[in-house]
Amino acid sequence: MSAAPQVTLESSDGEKFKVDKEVAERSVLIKNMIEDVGESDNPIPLPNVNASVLKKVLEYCEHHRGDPLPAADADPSNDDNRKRATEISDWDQKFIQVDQEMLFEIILAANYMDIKPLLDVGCKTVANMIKGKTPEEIRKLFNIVNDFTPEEEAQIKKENEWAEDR
Amino acid sequence: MTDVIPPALCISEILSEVFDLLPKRADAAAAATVCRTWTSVALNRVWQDLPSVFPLLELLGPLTYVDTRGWDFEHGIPDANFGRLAAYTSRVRSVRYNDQERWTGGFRQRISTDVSAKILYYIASQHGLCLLPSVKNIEWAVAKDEAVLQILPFLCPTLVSLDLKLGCEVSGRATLAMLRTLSSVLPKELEHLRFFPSMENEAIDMELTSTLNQFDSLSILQAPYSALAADTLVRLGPNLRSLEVQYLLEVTEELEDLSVLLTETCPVIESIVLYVAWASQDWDDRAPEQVPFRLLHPLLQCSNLVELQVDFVVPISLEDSDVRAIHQAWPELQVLHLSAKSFASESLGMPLSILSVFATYWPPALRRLALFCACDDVPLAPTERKHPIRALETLGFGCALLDRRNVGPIITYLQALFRIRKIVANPLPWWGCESSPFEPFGEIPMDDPWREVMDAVEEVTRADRKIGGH
Repeated sequence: MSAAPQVTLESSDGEKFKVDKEVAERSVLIKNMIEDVGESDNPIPLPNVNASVLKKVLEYCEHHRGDPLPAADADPSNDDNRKRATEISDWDQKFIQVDQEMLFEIILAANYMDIKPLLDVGCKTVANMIKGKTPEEIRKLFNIVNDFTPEEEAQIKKENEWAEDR
Repeated sequence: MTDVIPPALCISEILSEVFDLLPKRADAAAAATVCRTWTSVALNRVWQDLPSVFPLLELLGPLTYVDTRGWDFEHGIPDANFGRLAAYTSRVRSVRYNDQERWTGGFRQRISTDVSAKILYYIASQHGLCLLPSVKNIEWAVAKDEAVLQILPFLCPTLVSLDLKLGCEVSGRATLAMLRTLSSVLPKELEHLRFFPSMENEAIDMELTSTLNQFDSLSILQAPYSALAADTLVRLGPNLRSLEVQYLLEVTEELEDLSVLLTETCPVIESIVLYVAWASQDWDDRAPEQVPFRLLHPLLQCSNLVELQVDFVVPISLEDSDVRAIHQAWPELQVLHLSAKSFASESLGMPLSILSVFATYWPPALRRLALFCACDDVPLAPTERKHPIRALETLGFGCALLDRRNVGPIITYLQALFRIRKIVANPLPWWGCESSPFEPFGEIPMDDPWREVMDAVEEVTRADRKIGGH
């Protein structure tokens, strides 16, 4: 039996990762790159992802290598799709238990590399961190400065007051 | 604090994903006041699906009521900022309106329930006719004539789905006027229309037919069959994926003709819901006690069928061979409902043993099943099992009556065949399109024998799921 075809990925800091093509192609970006330029021995550069993040992303792709790929035309506003997306498996939950900086790096990498299920896991984790919190608590959690004037903030609050108990 | 937001939380696509996953609208409203970068994306989530038109009214400030003139539209919105209103209305993708609604927001004390559309109609006529420029879905429920045409400023070329509910007080004249208006303003690309008029009226049927003939790509249609002339069905059929109709029957054989017509005209149909009643008032005298499922056999050729619901006055009888045919013809079938909407005697309906046949010839995707079964003769639970226990989300028995002495046997029988999350029996007969055997209006009374069956069977399913860890 012949060995599974492999590709080499190169992180922004120059580290090279040799992985099965099937694993790398969990990323739509990489899949398209391979289709566009054909298979070659040259490493595929990922200038927006550093080695520590890429290692983590590949760990995810390796674990989910056999999963069905999400449909390209899946409607995210569909309730069923959304509900499915809000459920995080045990393995994914453990995987995403990282510090905040790494969490955001993974989300950025998933967005850049077009790995929808990983992006969902990251975004769901952030949504869980936000839910039930006041604006001030959210700012504190993510180190965000309040850049509204008091009048602006009051106006938005007033116009959206109706949503507060819904 | 730093003055740098994490880069991931500055990208609109990512923020949009995050806010879409927030379980409550209130969470998105809180996110909107975190920082300027988040506001626009979070407000899209808050306003995309409006449960009412009242939040729009809340933006306009207090209205004045003048005793002699009613609501003072000329001077009654002194603080309203129409620029702010436009900033929010452009975010709305879905809206629900009900002229009987009681809103618990700030307008509760200042405005009666039926004037909200009137005010918005006025605003639209003053500030541009398309009030919600990006709206896709509208649910419009009105009980009064004057509210019917107030839908006009909400209609827009972007509309994809329209669900109209007219209460029984709405006159034929108002209904006709509304249909004529819809004909002239609805986009030809509308995909979903639901409209059941509150009365039978030939002129309304003709107007509705004329409206339907304007559309090029309806894929979901819910309407009285009387408005579906054969050529209309021939025209719309190739695109129809879901059809829900009220059908008035002269003789039972018409059901077979209807099945043939649907099979021939709707090649990609996935969902069929039929509310069937007798056309004649004196049906009691000549109606058969049951009608055979074979009248629906032509539908077996619709191989994409995911849902079939036939809601008839009398029970539909199903033979073992019918179940085998269903198993073969509809591999994707998820929902099957063959029920009767009125009380019948305990001995009418399909024999309960038909459930054993279903368990053997199991449509693999089936999750909701409602059958009107005769529950006077409960079969013994099978001692040897030739198939796995089948999982059902819902098992419905319609208005079937159950004698208390059969409670124990039916529990044993059902548990031997299925694990069922929810058992449904209807405490009241139902008619029309506002209820279903799966989500009945009333709760089963505590002393009803079905209550005991539900509790016992659902408890076993819960216990199993707990052990299975699902």
